[in-house]
Formats: sequence, structure tokens, C-alpha cells
Amino acid sequence: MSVLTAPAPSTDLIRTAAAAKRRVSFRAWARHSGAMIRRNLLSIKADPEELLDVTIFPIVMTVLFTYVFGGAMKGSLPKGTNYLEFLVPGIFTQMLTFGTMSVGVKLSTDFSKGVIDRFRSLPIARSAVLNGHIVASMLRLLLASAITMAVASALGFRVHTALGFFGGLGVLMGLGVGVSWIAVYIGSVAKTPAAVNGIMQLALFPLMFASSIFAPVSSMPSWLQHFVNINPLTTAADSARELMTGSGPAAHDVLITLAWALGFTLIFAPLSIRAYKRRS
Amino acid sequence: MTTGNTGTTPAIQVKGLVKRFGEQVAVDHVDLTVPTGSVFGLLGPNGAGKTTIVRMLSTLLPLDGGSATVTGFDVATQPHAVRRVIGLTGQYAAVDEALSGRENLYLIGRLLDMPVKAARARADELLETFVLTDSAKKLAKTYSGGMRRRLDLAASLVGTPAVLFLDEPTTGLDPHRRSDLWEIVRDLARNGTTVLLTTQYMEEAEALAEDIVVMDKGRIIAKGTAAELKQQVSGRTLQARPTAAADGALLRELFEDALGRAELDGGLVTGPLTEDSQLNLLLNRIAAKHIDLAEITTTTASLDEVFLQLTTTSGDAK
Repeated sequence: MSVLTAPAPSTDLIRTAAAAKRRVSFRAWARHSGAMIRRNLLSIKADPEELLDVTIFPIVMTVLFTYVFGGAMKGSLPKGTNYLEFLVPGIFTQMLTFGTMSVGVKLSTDFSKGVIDRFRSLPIARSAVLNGHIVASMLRLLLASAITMAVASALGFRVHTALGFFGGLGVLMGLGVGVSWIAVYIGSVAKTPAAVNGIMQLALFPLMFASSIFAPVSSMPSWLQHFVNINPLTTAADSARELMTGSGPAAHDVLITLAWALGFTLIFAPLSIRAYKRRS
Repeated sequence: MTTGNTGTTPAIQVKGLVKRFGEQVAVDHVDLTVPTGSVFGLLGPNGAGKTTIVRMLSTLLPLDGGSATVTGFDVATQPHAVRRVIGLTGQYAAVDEALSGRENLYLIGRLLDMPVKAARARADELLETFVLTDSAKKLAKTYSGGMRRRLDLAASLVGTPAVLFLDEPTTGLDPHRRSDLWEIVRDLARNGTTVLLTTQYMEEAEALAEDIVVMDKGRIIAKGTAAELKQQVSGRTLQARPTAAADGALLRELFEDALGRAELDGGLVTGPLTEDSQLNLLLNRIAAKHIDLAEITTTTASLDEVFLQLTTTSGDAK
């Protein structure tokens, strides 16, 4: 059986020479990451219900919040702002940060199955498995964003400029990547997928409600405002608002949000890769 | 060039390997030398430390002591190089259940830097070899246990590894599937792949491995070929049945005189045979007493008995 033939001496030498090189080249890293992204996207096909949280959920959220809280909120919003204008960037913020939870859960599921052992026994960049999850998740969230935008438009939401809209989405995705690394870290250290879900929810829910995502900061008690103002979800929602609806100058909030994103990535990406390597 | 796999380097060289999990010593100063192109059997009961050794050699677990090289590459300091030359099939099928069989193999090919076309061709080739072509497009989660195992093994062969680790590859497989898998392992070995096989079954080690190491509680308790292991335990037994049941007691006495120990059970007399000369001596005495024998046999301890004896003795020693 020729298929099962071990490397002939000549290719053996080549393999040995290649093997002696320790590091993975940038091109190889990109190829490995690409293969992992493809793997994660293909797995959606196997389990289409996975897409519910990025298709049905944004529709429900947008419609529900607009009609349930829209009336109540009217009074506390700045003059001339309708709730839809306020809410939609908030929904995007919520979606692109909460959506990252699935990254941690999926990585943890990989660990609970044997497949991660196979990946770790291959000569690939250690980060490829993690990158693959994060990028695939971001692509899912782009789909969710498109659906949300369609629903919001139907309800009457209008963007200020197209550039602003995509800029806002870009900033949110930046933060989403940062938060994803936290999710990946939790996914690498927590014992089970359910634990990952629990920890993430516990951390994200207070952050989500104690922010400017659904309600203006000015309507909150002052002790809470201190927290809300340093909450990265607040600056993220504010930058999205400013960029998407032109509600004010965006530069300051954008910078702070991106700084958070960078900070999260710089801290949690190395921690995640370390935890991934060491997990037994 | 500091290291490389020249002809004289063993495929796997392990010296004083140690792994601890908290207080428990899972692998206790193990030495192994696996020559290139051989099938090497690591035999032992659950918890003997076999899987832990495989996980250390395949760079999944750090070493707590000693050293190990695979085709000359140090698993601790050159893990990336080791990963380039090994294939690993674990106890449970490490395939992605959400992908089809073909996509699983294609993914590994791409991760091993094969061009798209080559990765596709290799996937199809392996699907064919492992009789999975008909299910190539079905998701792995719909596969039967045997199919998953085959896919798993195929996945570990995508990169034609020089050294293949098979960790209890047939646990849970029915006997028919087991012999299919054995045939594949033999093929691999014939074609020059070095195989390190762990198993709980003496039969499997005997069927596949030239060299066998028996492990228990993290230590090596015996090593050699299957035949040598059998000899190591003087497991030969002499059994005889007198034609007349009434001669049983007398025959037992003769057995005891000649062999040192004997039992009479249901008309059958049994005693341990340690030297060939005992046999002649005993037969002469039986003839002198005019006892007619209906049957007489010597049996070698089965390898399973050897295994059992080795592992129980090592337990008693503690």
C-alpha cells in the first residue's frame, strides 16, 4: 500500500531540515489560521442552530427594545434624539461584545473533545487554533450586524454617513476582538463549556446594563455614573452612536475604546496561548 | 546541524523519564529505545502510565524529569521539530465531529502545509485506503465507532509520519475490526514507519510488536520479545490423567516427588515443570509403578497469564 509508505530517505532529509526550523513563518501562520477559520465556518453547516443567536436574536432584540423601552426612554434622551437612533448603536455594541462568548464556549468544547490534542501535536502556530475561532466568530457577527441593520432600517433607523456607519462597526469589532481574547482565555482555563458560559455571563451582564448601551448615563444615579463612565462598553456604545448617527465628536471615545481593545489583546492573547499550551 | 535523524539514531530514545501528577508518580524513571522501523509495544493495565508516556513523547505534556528524543529531536527543547515527524492516534477518536471525513483529512493536510490540490488528493487517497470513500461527505458525528477510529488513524497519517503513536488503538473495537487495524499497522511497519503502540492486550502486543515492554504503576516491570516474556515466567505445567481413577492418589505422590508440588483435581494431576529432565524422570517412575495414563500434556502459560503474573507480582512488591 503506497499510501502508507513512510517518507523516503530523500524527503526525510528535507523534512529534517524543515523540522530544524523552529518557528512558523508568517505565510504558514496565515495558512494555518485560514484552515482553522474554514474549519469553524464549516462547523456551522453541521449545526445551523448555531446561527440562531446571530440571526433571530438581533431581530428580537431590536424590535423588542424599540417597542418596550422606546416610549419610556423618550423623556430621558437628549432633545431631538429618538430612541431608535440611541438604541441601534447600542444593540450593535451589545451584539459584538456578547457575541464573543461563543468563542470561549467553542474552544472549551474543543478541549473537551480529543480534537485539540491532534491540533497540538501538529507543527502549527500555537495561535492558529485561537485565531481561527476569533475570526470565524467575527464573521458570524458581521452577518448578525447585517441582519440588525436591515431590521433597524425597516423600523426607521437612518445612518448619518456610510463611512461613519462602517467606522462605528469597525470600532466595535475592534473591541469585540479584544473581548474575544478574554473569552479565549476563559475557554482555555475553565473546566467545561458550561463553566465558560457561566463566567462570561456573570462578567458581561453587569457590564452591559451598567453602561450607556440601553439608557443614557445622565439618567443614572451619580455613584453608578462613575462606574458607567469608565466601562469600555459605554465608550464603545458612545463612539458607535457618534460615528453612526453623527450625534457628536467621536475621536475621544473611539481612542479610548480602541485602547481598551488593544489592552485586552496585549494582556489576554499571550495568557491564552500560554494556557492553551499548558493545558493537559 | 546539532541533531538529525542519521541511520544510527533510534526512532525514540527515552532516558529516566519522570512524570508526576501532584503526589502521584505516573511515570517513574522509564528508559526506552525504539529502533527505527520497528513496532514497539507498551503493555500494561489501566493507570500503568502508557498514555502519559505517549503524551509526553508527542509534546502534549511537559516532562518532569529525564529526557526523550524522537528521531533525534528533543521533545522538551525542540517540540516543533518533533511535531513534524510524528503522528498521533489517541484512545478516543480525535476527529472534528462537525466536519465530514474528507474535510477532516483536508484540514490536517492544509495544517501540514500541503498545497490545496495535494491536500485534497491525500485526503481522497486515505479515505480509499481506510474504506471511507462512501462516507467521505458525511459528518464524522454520524460515523460508527469503527469508522471514527479509522478516520482518526487516517488523520494521523496525512503527513506520512516517520514515527506513529498508537494509544490503545483497538480498545472498544470488535474483534473483526481489530484484525483489520492490525493489518494496517503491519503495512505501516513494512513500509518503514516506526510505531509505538500501547495496549492492554497481551495478544495485541504479541501480534504486532517485536519488542514489548510491560509497565505497571509507572514502572517497567519486564521487557523482551513475546517469547522471551513467556520464558521469563516459568509457566510450564505438566498434566496427566491416569486411566484408572484409583491411581490418582499414587500419581499425585509421584508428581510431588519429582516436581516438588502437585495437585489432584477431578482425576487430573497437575504440577509445575521447571526443567525438561524432570519429565523423563517422572515418566520412568510412572512406568515402574505400572500406572496407565489416559492423557499427558505440557502447557505453556498463556501470555495473558504471564501478564497477570507480572503485574500482580509488581503490586505485591510494594
